[in-house]
Order: sequence, then structure tokens, then C-alpha cells
Amino acid sequence: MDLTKKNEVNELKILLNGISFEKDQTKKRDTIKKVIAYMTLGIDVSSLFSEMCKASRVEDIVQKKMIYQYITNYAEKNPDLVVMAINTFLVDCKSHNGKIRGLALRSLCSLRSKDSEAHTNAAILEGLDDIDPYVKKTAIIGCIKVFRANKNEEYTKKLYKLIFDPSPLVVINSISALNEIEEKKGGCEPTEEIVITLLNRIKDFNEWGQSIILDLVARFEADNEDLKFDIMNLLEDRLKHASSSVLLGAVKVFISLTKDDKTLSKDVQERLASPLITIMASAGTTENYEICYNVISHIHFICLKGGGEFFQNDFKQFFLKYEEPSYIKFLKLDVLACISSEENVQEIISELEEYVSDANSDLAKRAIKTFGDIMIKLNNFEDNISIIKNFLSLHTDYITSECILALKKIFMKYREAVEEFEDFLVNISFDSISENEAKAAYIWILGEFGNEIAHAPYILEIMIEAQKDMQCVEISIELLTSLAKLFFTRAPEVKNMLGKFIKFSITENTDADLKDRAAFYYKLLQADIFSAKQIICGDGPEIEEYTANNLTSKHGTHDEYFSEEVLKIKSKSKFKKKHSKRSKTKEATDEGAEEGIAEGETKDEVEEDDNNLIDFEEEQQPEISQPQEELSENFMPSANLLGDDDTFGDILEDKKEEVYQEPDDILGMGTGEKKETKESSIDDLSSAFSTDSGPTPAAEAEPQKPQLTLKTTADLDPNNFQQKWMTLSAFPLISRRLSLPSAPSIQDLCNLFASKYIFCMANGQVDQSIKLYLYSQHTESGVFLMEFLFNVMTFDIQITLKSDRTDLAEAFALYTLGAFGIS
Amino acid sequence: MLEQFFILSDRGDTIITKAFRGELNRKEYEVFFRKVKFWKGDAPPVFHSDGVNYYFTKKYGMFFVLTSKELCSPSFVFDALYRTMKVFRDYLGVLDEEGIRKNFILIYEIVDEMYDFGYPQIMSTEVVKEFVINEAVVVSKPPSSAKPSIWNKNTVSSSAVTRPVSSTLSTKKKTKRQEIFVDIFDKITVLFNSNGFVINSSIDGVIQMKSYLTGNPELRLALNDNLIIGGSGEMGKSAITDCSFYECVDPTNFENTKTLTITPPDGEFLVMNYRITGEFQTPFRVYTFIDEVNPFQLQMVLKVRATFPGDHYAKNTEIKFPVPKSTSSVSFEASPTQEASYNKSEQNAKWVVKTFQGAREYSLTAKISLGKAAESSTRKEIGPISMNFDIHMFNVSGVTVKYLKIAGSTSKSGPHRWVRYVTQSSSYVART
Repeated sequence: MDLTKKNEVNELKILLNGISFEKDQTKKRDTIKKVIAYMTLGIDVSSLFSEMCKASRVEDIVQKKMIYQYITNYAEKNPDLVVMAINTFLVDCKSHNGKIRGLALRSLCSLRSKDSEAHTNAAILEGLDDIDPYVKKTAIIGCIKVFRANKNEEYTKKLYKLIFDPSPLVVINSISALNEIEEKKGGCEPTEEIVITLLNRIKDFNEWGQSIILDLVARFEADNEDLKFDIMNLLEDRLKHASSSVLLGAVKVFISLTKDDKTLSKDVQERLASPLITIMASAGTTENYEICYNVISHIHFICLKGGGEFFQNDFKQFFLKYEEPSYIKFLKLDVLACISSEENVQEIISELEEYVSDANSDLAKRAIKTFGDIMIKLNNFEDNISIIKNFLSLHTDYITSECILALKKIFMKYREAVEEFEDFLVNISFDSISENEAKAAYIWILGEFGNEIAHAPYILEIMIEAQKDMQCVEISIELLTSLAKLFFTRAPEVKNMLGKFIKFSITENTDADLKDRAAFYYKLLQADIFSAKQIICGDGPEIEEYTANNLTSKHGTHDEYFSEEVLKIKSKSKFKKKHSKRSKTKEATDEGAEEGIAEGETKDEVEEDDNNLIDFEEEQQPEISQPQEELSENFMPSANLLGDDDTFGDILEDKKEEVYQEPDDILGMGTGEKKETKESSIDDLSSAFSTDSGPTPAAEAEPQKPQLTLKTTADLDPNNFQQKWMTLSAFPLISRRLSLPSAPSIQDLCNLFASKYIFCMANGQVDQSIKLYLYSQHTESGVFLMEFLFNVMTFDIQITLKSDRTDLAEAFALYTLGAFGIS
Repeated sequence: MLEQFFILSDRGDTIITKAFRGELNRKEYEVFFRKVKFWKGDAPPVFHSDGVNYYFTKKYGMFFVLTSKELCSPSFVFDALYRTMKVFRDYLGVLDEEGIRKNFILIYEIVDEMYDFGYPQIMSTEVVKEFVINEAVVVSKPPSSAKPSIWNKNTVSSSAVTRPVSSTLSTKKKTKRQEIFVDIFDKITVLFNSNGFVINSSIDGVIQMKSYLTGNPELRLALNDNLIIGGSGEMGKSAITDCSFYECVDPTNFENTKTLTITPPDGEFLVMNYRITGEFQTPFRVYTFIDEVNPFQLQMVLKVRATFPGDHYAKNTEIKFPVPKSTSSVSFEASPTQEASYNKSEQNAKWVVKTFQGAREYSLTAKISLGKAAESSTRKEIGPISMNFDIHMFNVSGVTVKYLKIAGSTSKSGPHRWVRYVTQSSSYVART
């Protein structure tokens, strides 16, 4: 605080000290006003606390209110002086004037001081029975304040009674108070009596009151049909209400009441469409864009829940307006994608074409993205090929980039359409694709459609050169994957390139992701080229449906609609989703990142914050990006590679070990007659596959024992394993004790088994006991499943064996024990 | 519930800050301002940062912000925020930074009555008035321009409605002028394609009132009998597709009698919204002709024809269109009463017609000089053309007031009742 301000505060102190001698009320007021003004400006005037307390012994309500404001503000900072304030408030709580009683009680409850507790409780109890509703409603809020300060819940019963009070504000505050105090029990409990009473007098309440009541009613589980219809009839006219909170509150009740009845819920959704559009349009034209945004968010949400059809006829309402802020424009585009249908698609598309030529590049990009989404949703891309060609003919970098991103998705659904764009894809200059994401998408297309695009390998070759200096990991990873994919369709042309690129990635490159993936591909290709193809190329199912339908299955229940609670539920489920998402490939997350440029940051925060905070943007975002994620999961070969399948990692580990331990063996088997001894070096790759014949099927393992021949690369998915484990009966339990110098780790055990072609499905350790689930496949038919328990202290092992080859079970058991050198 | 309320100026200074619960650090407004300032594109009205939800609107050159830590329904919060602003406006007459700064004690007092511990309490001006002691210091405004001569003497300057509500209270009954204003706004959205066909059109109307009546007597507002509600009706008839009503309105029987019963709150309030999606006569038609004079010059002829009757006019009609990025200069030819200008930094041109008489056609010729030779796509960079206008005492929807009855007064001697019809452009765009 600088000197002049300090002086001013001192002057005020002198003025305040003399205030009781001052006769002129206006002058008194002015002095206090000055103090408040300083407080507002952020100047510390807390040193005047005792003077202000003294000054509060006046009858003038104007001064009283100002002083109260000051005291409440600084009470925490002057705990020694707070007693003085409490006394003033307590005297005023007995005032004959209801306003002063209410005011004093409010200020008293706002004091966060230990000294005030006992007095406050007494004053609140008195206030709850006051004749003046103003005091009563203040006392109820006081209950919340006390609850917040010291978790005092003694008022609950009283509050439930006050729900039936004649004063609307008393009722509403009671509900709010119960919602907060009983939060752990789900807030105020809506009984049938409460619900019916409140709905019958809902018109007594203001918009906020109605909204709180509707929220309460939406939580009410009506147990019979008549009651449901009674409630809906009582709420019928609320749908004509011009307040968005009342309307959305009513909508929420309607949807929650009909959630179990499919036909009824469709009827209800249809009824709701028109009021929602009216409120959206009127908010938009009165430039209440905040409300408009909120309502469109909800419409979008209904669309994602499968209600898009009811907005199809009003699609023009979602055309963009010149003056609208971008957050509304973008949201409207998302809605347009959801409500597009065979009937309106041409009109929507020609509108989108206009947006693409908009001066705002972000809008143009979003419009192209929307076009892509619509193409995936509907089935008539063939009719609209020329449109995307028109976009491309604009030769604008950001448009071209965005088109490539859209095309990537479109090609996933319309594989045959690639041919139409071959010219474009071959002739486009890599530099004219402005964004890395789009470059990656371009590379993906080249990798995926090696058969259709004759030049693909040569284009990639040029890009590799360009890429070495650019140091963009996303692009490098995509290049690697595309090369690996092309290897299976265009082996002779790509072989050397792939070898070189893998070498580059492992030796020169410094990025861990790229390095890991290159190493993984390398080992994978060495280990088993057949599985490698399956893993790298994947065989994604065709895209049939888009957004809406995908989403309905994702979010089952309808009661998540329209509210804060909704968001709570959602952020929790998002939380889970996020975890699995993280383990997925970079690309998969990057898909979502486009939306996330701005919101991504907050998205993370929300998910990490268990307070379940919201942002409407966010409410919608996960849904928007969801379909794409799904796409990537299914289609991106890379997603298959590093998928979030728990067991996959273990299998991978096993294979690695195998490769390291017996390289000769594996390579020998992989390529049939080629049995030269090799070191694990990069150059091996090209020579290993120099047979040009493409992938050769994995040869059978050399039998360890004549009767028991096991596949060297068993492949069994976890579900299959589980199913078999449940159905097969167990052979007698085998118990042994090992004599080992030290306890092996889980990894050691897995490696040991892997060397015997017994693979690990799942493993874990609880206290002293390691548990492994293992499996092995017979070369001809049959599987061996095993539960292996190992006590790290006693070295006891227990083996439960299950197999459909009863004839070989014993041999397998011996074979297993043989691994430990025992019988 | 809500945690804080604050008002920030355009530059980020705090004008008003109020923590309802005192649980948050008081620097939230800084976080808020930084976030909004550096948002890519327009910041959405609801966002979350570091454990705090922000709900804001930017109006009158200020940010009005509510924050919460817990989940609050955004519509609930925005209704509250708008209402808070309305109460301020009722008190101050006009909501602006100066007015708020001069009346900050009053504002704090109002906020204290409207929210307790973050819960909305008394939310209407007339009830708040009972508990608020401070009076508004009215910031004097320069007198608004003279009444347009075309208005008859039964009209009153629109500045009459910017009088604060509460000042009528304090200046005792004798000087109080009893009057009520009814506004019917047709806000129209029209989109023409490049051939001049209407591809999207709708009217979003609103009936708004401002009451200076003592005692808030019940009002009965009757609209024209031939109004059709529901369905998209035939052309020429007023058919309302859908409508909604505000809290103070009892719409029972509206469909039959076209009459609304209103319990007016103090000050300005909305009565109903209506939406019309059927076709209607667009008040302006726009024609453009673009020629390439030479590779470095484009010439655009823009003709705008008013199709509404000649005894009406549109005030301050603004016609705007973007010009190609490569534009170096633009020269205009228009008749002298009209102004046209070119904005280099935004690369657009603006044409203002002060008084656009009905049934007339005006044209503008813009010669656009280009910095580099035109390409095939350069032409497409001109447009779309967007128009802003207000046509007074004319409405395209055909929604009209038949009568307005005030309980307890006869129509002859009763308070003044002013009715105003305005057709406004919400979004009026012609593609080129």
C-alpha cells in the first residue's frame, strides 16, 4: 500500500471515530460509503474494523447495510474483533423490523467464526419459525451456511416440513438447502406428496423456483402409469414457457418419465422439438447467444441420442447466420450432420458449399468436416464426389488439407471411391498440405490403398526424404505404418524402403514412440509374417452407421439428459474412457484432438477433477469425437498394433523373448528353408523376406516330443480362453515344490514358458502368490489351458490343467514340469 | 451453487466483484479475463478452468460473469444472469459502465438481495425495490436526436423508455407519468441465393413491454383476430408456427380469444416470442452484377429494391459485403444522400442509406481495384451481401395489437399506451 492510500485510510479512521457525534445522516453515510469504495477497489481497509463495528449502532438502515457488508467481508481477518460484530447482529435479530431481522441474520450466518456458532444456531432456529417469510427464507440459507462451516445437519427434518410452507421462496430455499445438505444421499428426496403438491402450485414460483422444482421432479421415480401421465399433464403448459431453464427442466422431466417406454419417449421427443427450436430461434435473434448455445447443445444431445429425425424438417433453422459467434456456428454444423437425411441432404450440402468459400478458414474447415461426416452417415457419396472435387479445385491449402482428412474417413466407408481421386492423390504436392494431421492422413491413404494407387510407393519414397528433416513424429509414425502396410501389397517396391526406414527409426531417430514401433514391427515381421499382416493391416469392418446410432448404444439411459447430474454421470464415464483412450495409439487420440485445440485442455481438467465440472462444450465433445475414435480403433492398423487389449502386451512380451532367445529357430520356421544363422540386425529384414513370394505361412514347430506338438505361435483371444476355461473340466491338481536359488519374477516365468511355446494370457501377483494363466495350442487341434500358481516364499507350485486333448494332457503336464527340470 | 458474480470492463478492470461464498480465491476474474482474451475464436459462454465454471455474457461493453464450483444448469445460471442485468437496467435506466461505477453501492445492495450464499432469491425489480434503500444516480445522457417528422404527434421519442424505473418511485406520486410501451418486433432472417431466390426465411418475433404504471395493474393484451396459431398457414395470413410466453403472462384461452392476461412486473419485460416459418414478402430484394472490367478491376453493381409500401421507410440501412483479399482500393458511385466506404483492414465495403423509402430502388456501383490480376476465384470473394435495417411502424408478420386494457382505468382517461411496430433484420443475407 503506498503512502497516500495509507494516509487516506488513517483519515477515514479519524472520521469514523467521530461518527457518533455527527448529526447529519448524509455525512455519516458518505463516510461509510468511502470505506466501502476503498474496499471495492481492493485497498485494504480492514484496519478500520473496530471503528466500523462501533458505527453500526445506528437506526439508519442505509448505513447498517453498508456496515454489514463491510463486516462480513473482513470478519475472517479480524477474529479478535468479531465478537463485537456478533453482538450487534444478535441485537438486531430481535428488531421489530422484519427487514432488519433478516439482514442481521443473514450477516450473522455469513460470519465464518468459531465464536459465532452457538449464537448462530439459536438465531437460525428462531428464524425458521419467524412470521416474516423474508426472515424465514434467510434462516434457511443460514442452515446451509452452518452446514458448510461445521457439517451441522440438525435442521433436515424442519426443512422437509418447510417445503409445504405457503411462501414460494421458503419452499425453494428449503429444497436447495436439502439438496446441498443431503448431497450424499442424492439431495432432497422427492416423495409423491412433495411432487404433487409442488406441481399443483408451480405457477406460484418464479423461473428459478420452477426450474429447481422440475429438477426435483425429474429425480422422482413414478411407480405407476397414471401418476406419470398426471405429472406430464400438469407440466404440459411449461413447454410453452419462454424461459430456457423452465423449458429444459420440463423437457428433462418428460424424458425421464418416458425413459422406459420406447414409443412414448419417441412421441415425447417429437413434441419437444418445436418448443426447443422456438426458444433457440428467439434467443438467437435477441442476441442472447448464451441461451441459444445452450439450447442447441441440448438439441445436439437429443440428436445424438437418436432424436435427430424430429429436427430433420427444421434443418434450415440450423443454417448459419452471418453475425453469430463461432461457437454457435460450429455447434450448428454438428447438428446439421446429425439431422441430415436422404430428403434434406442436397440442400444441406449446397449450404455447406457456401460455408467452404467463407473468408473464415476455421469455418470452412468445419464445413468440410461436416460434409465428410454426412457422407459417412448417409449412403450417397457417389452423387457428391464432384463436390469434394470442387473443394479441391479451389487450390487453397487449408481446404485441401481438410478435404484429405475428410477423404480418409470417406474412403474407409467407400473404398471404391479411391479410384475417383487417384489423379488428385498422385499429383498433389506434399507441401500444399498445410497441416501435419492432414499429411498423416494422406500417408495413411497411400498405405491403405496401395493396390488402387499405382504410384503410392514412389510418393512415399519422396516423402521419406522430406520427412527426415521435419521431425514430426506423427507423420513419421504414419509413414512407418503405411510402409509396413504397403509391404504386404507391394513387397518388391517397398521392401528396401521399409528396411531403411526402420533402420533410420531405430538408430537415428530419437523419439521413443517411433523407435518402439519400428522395433516392434521389425520383430513382428521377423517372428511371424502371417500374424504380422493381420496385425499391421488389420481387417476393419466396413463403416455402416455414423454418430447417432453408434452413440445410442454407448450411452444407454435417457435419464442422463439435461442437467447438471447428467454431466456428473458423464464425466465419470468419460474418466474411464480416457484411460483406455490413453493406451490407444497416438492417432486415435489425435482424431479427437482436432476439437480439443481449445477445449482439450479443459477436457482433461474436467476428467481429472472429480468434482465433475462441466462445460457444455465438453458435454458434447466426447460424443462428437467418439465416432472417429471408433473408426480409428477399427481401421487404423496402428490401433490394432498397440490396442488396449490387456493381454496383448503379454503376448508381445512372449514373442519378443522368443525372438531373442532362439532367433535361428524362429527365422528358420518363418521362411521355411532359409535356416542360416543370423544376428538380430536390421539388415536381416530385407534379406529375410527376399524370397519375394510375400508372406509365407508359419511352419509348424519342430516337435519337442513326438506325441506333443505345439504351435510356436499360438493365438487365442481372451474371450475364447475364458469360454474354454469355463467349459473344460480340470485334470487333477498338480502340486510340487521347486528348488531354486531365488524366486523368479513373473517375467522370468513367462519367458520360461514362452520358450516352451506355452503362452501367457494373463498374470498377476497377490501377496506371495504369483498366478499365471497360460495356454498352448496343439499343431493339429486342441488347446491346453493352465492355471499356474507360484508361492514366492515357499516355492510351491500348483498347476490346474484343462484341455480338450485328454489323450495328451498327461504328456503336457510332464512337458510343463520338464521346463523346471522336475517331473 | 453460484460462487461469484463480477462485472469486468472491456479492458479487464473489475467494476463489481462479489463472492457469494467466499470459498474461492478472489483472483478468478483474472483467470477469466485471460481465458476469454486468448481464446481461439469466440469463447463459448460456458467454460471451465481449474475447478471453476464460468458463465458469462458480454453486453454493453462489459463482461457479466457468474461462477460456480459445483454443477449448475447453464440455462438456470444464464436466466439468472440476464435477470440480474435487467434489474440493474431497471434501476439505472441505461446499463453502461459509467452508470454502474457511479452506483456501485446500489449494485452491491441489489446483488445482496438477489442472491444469498449463491442461491437466487428475490429476482424481480418490484420486490427487490422493497428491500433496497439506495437510489440510483442517473447518468445524464445527451438528448437523443429530434423526433422524425414522419411520426405523428401521438408518438414519443424512443429515449422515453430509457428512464429508470425506480426514479419514478422516489420522486413521489405527483410527478409520476403513467404510461406503458408495447413493442412488437419482427426479427427476420432471410437468405437469398445468387439467383435472388429465397432459400431460407423465418420471422422470430417478440412482444416486449415497458411499464411505468403504479401498482402493477393487470393488463389484457388482445392481438388481431385473424391470427392463426400452429401450422404454416397460407401466404398473406398471419400464421404463427410456434410461440412461447414469459412468466408474467397467462396464455389460457390465447388460441381462442387471442388475448393474453398479463401481470406486469416493473420496468421492461418480455411478453411472448413467436416464430413464423411460412413464406412472407421480403422487405428488400437485392440484385448484384459483377463484371471484370480488366484483370485489375472488377465492377459490381448492387441494386436494392424496397418492396414495402412507400409511406414507410427504413432507418440507417446498412449494406455490407466483403471484397477480394487482393483489393487495393474501391471507389463508389451512389447518389449523394448515401454514404459508401471501404475498410482496408477488414477488406469489406459498407453502404449506408440513411432513409430508405419504401417502394424505391437504390443502386451502388463499386469499382474494385485489385493489387494483383484477378483469378477465376477472385470474383467469388465478393459477397455475401448482408443488410441491417429497422423499418418502423411496419411489420411483415401481420401480428398487431387490437387493444390493450389496463385494469381499473378507462381507455379515455387512462395512462398513455404506446405501441410500436418494428421490422428488424436479424440476418438478411444475399449471396453473390
